[in-house]
Amino acid sequence: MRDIDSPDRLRFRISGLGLADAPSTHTWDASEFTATQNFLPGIPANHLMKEVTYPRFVNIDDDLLLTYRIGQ
Amino acid sequence: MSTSFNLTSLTTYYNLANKAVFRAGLGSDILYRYSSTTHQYVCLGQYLTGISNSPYISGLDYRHPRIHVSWCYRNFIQFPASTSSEAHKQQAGPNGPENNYDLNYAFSEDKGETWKSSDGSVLAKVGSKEEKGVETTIKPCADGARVFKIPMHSGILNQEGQAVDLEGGFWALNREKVEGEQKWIAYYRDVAGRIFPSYCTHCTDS
Repeated sequence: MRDIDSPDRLRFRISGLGLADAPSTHTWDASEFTATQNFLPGIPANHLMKEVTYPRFVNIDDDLLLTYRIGQ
Repeated sequence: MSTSFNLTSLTTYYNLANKAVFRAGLGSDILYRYSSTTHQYVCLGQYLTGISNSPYISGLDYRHPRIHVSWCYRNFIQFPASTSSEAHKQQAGPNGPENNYDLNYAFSEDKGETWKSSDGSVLAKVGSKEEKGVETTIKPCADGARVFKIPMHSGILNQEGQAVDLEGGFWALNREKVEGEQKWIAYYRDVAGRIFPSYCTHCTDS
């Protein structure tokens, strides 16, 4: 079953800088991440973050895409 | 999964739909890009927009220099119960996956801001490339976005698989009824843009 729609607000945590580059030098636990937030770094919470389903991250060279579905 | 539905009910819903006003933008897809230098996201825009339907992507895949996306639409039929907050979770008629249709495809060669159809014409520009007179989202029926016409009730599912191979060829996986039988189908687009389905006849879904 692939239909997993249940629109809900965005929940997002991000690690501190450097964790992914040198994981063995970190404890790799929840304290390495921010608290759960309802916004993205650089973008305050807004109406596009209220009904989120099917989030996906895609590496684009050194950058990263995030896509998700909004709506019912 | 079951895709069974009651034909009598469905007919009733269709009749209701004829009298209903379709809601726009039932589902849409948003795209952000995170920069490894600024450590911040920017919102590029709503690159796919549903109108009386919802686009469901098979995936978003990158192999330099292209991002590939493919999707089907799920038709949305307005009916009394569809105003409930649970309506979108329906897995059987009238708004279940049997209403999925078509395979659509677009690619971007500028990290997600200019989206082109398989033949290379611009479908939409988002983010810093937004331009007066050019669409800022790919709408249903956008010229050239559909690469395979697949009717509703063909057994295709949303959120199936896709991949890009080492040569830049694009693959999407779904299943369709072929001569009354559900079969897995790999759809393939080569780098030159030739698209054709390849029936995987040994993978009958039982």
